[in-house]
Formats: sequence, structure tokens, C-alpha cells
Amino acid sequence: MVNLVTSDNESFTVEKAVASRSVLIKNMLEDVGESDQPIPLPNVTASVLKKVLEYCDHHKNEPMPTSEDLAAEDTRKRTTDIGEWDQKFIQVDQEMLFEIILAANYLDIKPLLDVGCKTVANMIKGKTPEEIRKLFNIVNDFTPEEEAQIKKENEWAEDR
Amino acid sequence: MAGTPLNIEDHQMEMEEVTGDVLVKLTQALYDQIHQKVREGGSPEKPSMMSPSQPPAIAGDINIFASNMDQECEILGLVQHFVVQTANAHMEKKISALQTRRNQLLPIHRLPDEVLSSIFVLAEGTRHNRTQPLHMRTPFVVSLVSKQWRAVALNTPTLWTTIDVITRPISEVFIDRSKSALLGIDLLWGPDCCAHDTVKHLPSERHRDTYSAHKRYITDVGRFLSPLIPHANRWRSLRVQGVRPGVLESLLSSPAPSLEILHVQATPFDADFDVSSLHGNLFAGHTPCLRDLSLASVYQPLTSAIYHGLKDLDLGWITYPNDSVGRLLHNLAMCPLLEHLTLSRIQFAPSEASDTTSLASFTLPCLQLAMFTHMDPGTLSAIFSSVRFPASILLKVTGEGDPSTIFPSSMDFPSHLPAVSLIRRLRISGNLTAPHAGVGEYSAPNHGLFNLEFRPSHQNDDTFPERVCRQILTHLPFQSISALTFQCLLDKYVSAATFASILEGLPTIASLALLSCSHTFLELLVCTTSSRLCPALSVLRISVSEITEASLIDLVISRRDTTDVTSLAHLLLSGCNGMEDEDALERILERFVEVHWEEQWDTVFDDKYARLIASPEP
Repeated sequence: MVNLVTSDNESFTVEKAVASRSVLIKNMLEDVGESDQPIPLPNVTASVLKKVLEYCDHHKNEPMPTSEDLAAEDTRKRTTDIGEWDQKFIQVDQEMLFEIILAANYLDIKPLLDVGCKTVANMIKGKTPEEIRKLFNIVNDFTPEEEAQIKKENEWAEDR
Repeated sequence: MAGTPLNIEDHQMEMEEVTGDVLVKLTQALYDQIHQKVREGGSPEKPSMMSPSQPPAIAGDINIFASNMDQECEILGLVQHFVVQTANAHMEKKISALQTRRNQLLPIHRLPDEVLSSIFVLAEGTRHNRTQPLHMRTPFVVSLVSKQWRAVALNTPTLWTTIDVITRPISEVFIDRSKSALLGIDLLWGPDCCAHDTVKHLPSERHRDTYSAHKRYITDVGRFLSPLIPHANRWRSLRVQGVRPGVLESLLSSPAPSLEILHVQATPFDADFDVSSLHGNLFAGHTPCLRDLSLASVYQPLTSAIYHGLKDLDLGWITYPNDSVGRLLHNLAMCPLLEHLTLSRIQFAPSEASDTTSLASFTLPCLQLAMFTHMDPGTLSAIFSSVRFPASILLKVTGEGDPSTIFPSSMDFPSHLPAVSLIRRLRISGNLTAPHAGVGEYSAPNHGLFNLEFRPSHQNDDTFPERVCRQILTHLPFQSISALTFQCLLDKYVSAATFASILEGLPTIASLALLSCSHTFLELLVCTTSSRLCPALSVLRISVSEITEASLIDLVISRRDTTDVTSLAHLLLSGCNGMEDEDALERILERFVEVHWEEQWDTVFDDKYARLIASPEP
């Protein structure tokens, strides 16, 4: 078993197979060897780690992506299709969604990062810039001058 | 914005209090500066309205004063313009900076740029994006959301790598922003999602723009490709549909060292088109990274290195006038990592067709799917003699000829097609609408699937189904079939003797289904002292049949009372028109067999009963 300590000082004791879905933790375990020392995760809160571990537990028996898989993904166009369980898992509020993505990125859990990125990609596809701003509560921070310049650059895109 | 909206009227006085003095001093200072400069420029000293003096006494002075005042107004106008512009620009920047800082507080802003960049690329790669007009394409949409998103978008070269008929008018923007990333070039008549529709199908409403843009470009492919050809060294994929034969060959003569995918679907050759007149070697045969090649009606000599090192190969509607099937097989041997192979309507010059003399057999260990449709028996026979297919292969073959002409009698099945010995379920189908065609279909475990369709090489060959049925077992060494389905098999095309010989050859059958077959075949299942077909049969399914109650009762009871024959355990019935009283029949039969009445009358294999009909694994 592996003991993980979150930024808000909560401890989680999980199976090694579950914790090792994180390449960061896996490498730490390999470097340290057998040890009872808790692993601090200063960038992850308890509520987020709980969710991340739920994902890792569900996928613990799946093969880890190889470096070959990752290299192939870089060059090939990927789809934004998400598995059924993952879809349900990622149905969370925006704040938690971005926290999960950040945690997956920090903990180096590529498949989870993928699920998060695909979810956001699906959220933005087909939307106008204004709709995207509204969706994420972003304000248009271009100055009128910059906007005019962009509009001039994008003149070709109008009426096409 | 949080809180009550602010009103200028509510704050007019405070703002005037602050600006009044500041504004006077600012404008005076600006005025003085400009006035000083104008005076240094040689103009006579002029009294200033900003420092009023005594009014002029004589008429000549009036003109001078008026002229001075005009100049003063002009200077003040400049100052006003400058102050307004500067204040605007300053405030706009200040507001923009504040908005940027506000955006930085948002959860989404916490995502690192590289993650945001991946999200953009994923959104760009969706089929949905390909159906959008230019201004709604992901690269443009995301780069208009905010400053941060724009910076990330412009610094994500892979976001700008798709050049299709919609983005082609601004290909220079894509080429520039994609920096050195590899390009994907599509001259397709629809987005990915309908890329495989035939040109005869009318495009849907949302694909109409793509369709008409394709129509414009395809008549002048040179114009479409001209800004892209200088960047051929960074083409990752090229997909073209509807091009005339020979057009691309003349345009694409330089190497494409990064090309991984090449799909070209040309318009079919005219009957009198001389393929041998096409000499162009695409990319000078230099495509060392090519892994996915699909050519339809595109002739490339089989001597080209373009065919080497592939993972996917799909060739269709091509005649090779100067090449042999041996040359094709040689190329396949040069693709040890081949995963998918599709050959359709491939022909060789008659003198070259069967030349496989110098080729030793070889294995394609990674091959998952092989489809050979409308291929002549000679070519198929050469392929099956040379290629050693993995046991888990999904194989679909439509051959024009008898099984004996497609699978050579000398073929070493265990080493070339080991999947045959793994097949447990076999389906033999005829065709009610074209009864001269015989069809054999076989399914194997571990997801392997055989689908072999034999078509007669000439029409009105009424003996064809009979020959196919006879040869299926003699030319394909099935070892332990335990579930057999006959579908649409009629006794006017297949004799009872042939039918019986198939059953005799498969003594391990535990499940048998006759779907839309002549009921006379069922009579052969009645056990007698001289005939005990299918001794292990425990599940019998009959669908769409003229069998009568009496015949069925005879059949069931005969199999119960015969030694060394397994009693029927399940009888599945549907669409049996010859039965008058189903309830009475069930009452009689339920003592001997479990009867299941199926509601559907179709002859499609029903998964509901798959577990009953499927035999247990050995």
C-alpha cells in the first residue's frame, strides 16, 4: 500500500497498482524503493485526489500507455470520443474539471489528462468566441485597436 | 460585472473636480509646446488666445489677429485630438490589462499553455470542425476568445496544419502559422465524416459548401496544390478524391520525405483509357515514411518503392498492364508490419497474372484485416499460396469462381490459413434473388471472421451452388465445426445428396439452423437405420419453412429413439407456414424437447439464441 498526503494534509492509503497509474508516483516509488514514508502531493487537494484515485482505481488493470503510443498520438489526429464510464466520471463542475486536468498533468496520468482535455475540447467545439467566453466566464480583453487589427487580418474569413 | 452598474451621471461632479484643473494645465502645456515649435519654424510672433492681449486697433491688424486665431484653433484642435486619442488608448490598455488580470483568476486560466494547446488541437481535429465554415473553424474561434487564448493558438503550430477546400483560400496563413509542423492536405468532396460517400450522393446541407468548393478545385488541382507544393517536404498526409487519372502524377514529382498517409481516389478510367500511358511516379517513389496508402483508379507501377513499409494498403479498380501478381506479393513481403490489406478489382495483364515463380511464401504477422473483393481466382490463388496469414485474421473474400479455383489443392492450410482449423461456427448461404450465386460464410473464435463469397464466373450457372457446397468441405479443411447454419438454400439448386454430404462431413455439429431453406432438407435429419446425420445435434432452429407438424414430430422422435444419437434439447421455430396448430404441436413435443417460438420471421441470425446455437468451446 502507498500513503499519499495532499496539500490540505489529508492522507490516502491506496494500493500500489492504483497509485502507480501516476507516472510521477510510480517513478517516486521506484526511486525510493520499499518505504513506509508518505508521499507528499503539494499541488493536489484532498477533494481532487479522491476523484483522481477513483479514476485510477477503475483503470488499474489496463495497460499503461507506452512511449510508442504517446509518440503516435503526437503525429496522428485524435478523436474526442470518450468511453462511457469516463464520460460519467468527468461530469463535474468546471472548477473540478480543471482541477482534475491540472492534477492529471502534475501527477502525469496521461489517459486522465486526455479525458479532461477531450471534455473541454467537446465543450468548445461548434461555439462562437462569444459563446466560449460566456461558457467559461472569460471577458474579452482585447483593446478595440487589437480587435480592429484582428478583424482586418481575418477579413478573408468573413462571408466564406 | 458584479454589483450595480455604474452611471456617469452619478460620478460627474467628482470626476470634474479632479479633471478640471489637470485638464487645463495639460492642454495649456501641450498648446505651449506646439506653439513654441511653430514659432521656431519662422512664423511671426502672434498674440495668443491662451494669453489674451488688447484687441487690435486698426483693420490691418484685424487680419493678422484673425489669422493667428485660426492657427491657434488649429493647434488646439491638434491638442484635443491628441488628448482624446491618448486618453482613449491609455484607458483601453488599462481596462484591457485589468480584464486580462481578471481572466487570470478563472479556473480555466490555471491550465498550463501546453494543456490549452492540446485542447485546441483536439477540438480542431474533430469531424464537427471539418463541417464548419472558415470563420467557425477552431483555430480562428479560439484565437478570438481572449489575449491568452490567442497567444496560445498562434504558438500552436499543429493547430494550423489542416489545409482543405475551405481553408485553402488562406493557405498562406496556415503555412506561416504552422511553422515547421507537418501538414495535412485534403481535397475531398466532404468532411471526414462523409469522405467515403460516392460522388453520386448529393451532399447534405451542411456539407454543400465543401462539396461546391471541391468541385471548383478538382477541375484545377494544380491551382489547389500550387502554394503547397514548395512545402512538400512537410506534408504528412494527402487525401484527394475525384481527380482525373494522370493529373497528380504530373504535379507530384518531387520527394515527400514526411508523407505518412496518401489516399487518392481518381475518377474511374474510361474503357478506352490507356493506363500504360501514365508514366509518372508519384513523389519520385521517395516516400520513406508512408504507412497508409489507398489508391483507387490510380496507376502506380508496382516497381515503385511507394508500396514498401506500409501498415495499411488499399488498392482498387486498377489494372497493372506491365506487372504480375508476383510483383504485388513481393511488395506485400516488403511490408512486414502490414495491418490492413484491401484489394478490390485489381487486374494484371493475362501473361503476367500468374507469374509467382520466384516468390517464396512469407508471413504477415501483424495483419488484422484482409479484404479481397471482385478478384479473379488466379490472383486469389496466388495470394493464398504465398501469404501466411495470422490465426486471428478477419478475412473477407469475394471471388469469382469455384472454391477449388481460389484455394489451391496444394495449399498448406495449417501454415497459410491456420484460422480455418479454429472455426467453430459455419454458415452456408445461398441467395434467393440470384439463385445461381453460392455463398459461404464462416466465423471463427477470438474475433476472427471469415466471410467467403463465391460468385460464378459466368451468368446462369445453375450448377454453381451445388459445386460450391460440394467443394466447401473438400477445399477448406474445417476440423471441428459445432454450429452450422444454412440460409436461403433451395433444393432446386443444391441436391439432397450434397446437403447430406455436408452434414456427413461435419459429425461434430451440436447446433443446426435452417433459415429460409427448402423443407425437404429437414427430412434428411430423420434418423433411420441407414441414416444418422448429425449424431451430436442438440439444438435445431428452423425459420421460414414449409415443414409440417407431422414431419417435425417424426424428426424429433426419430432422434430420441435412435441409439448413438443425441436427443434434441432445444427446438427453435419461427415463420413455419406449414403448421396448422402450433399449440397442439407444442403439447406433443414438449415431452421430448424444449420448444422456443421465435416472434421474428426474418432469417437473420438472432443473437438471442446465439448462446444456444453456438457450440461450447472444446
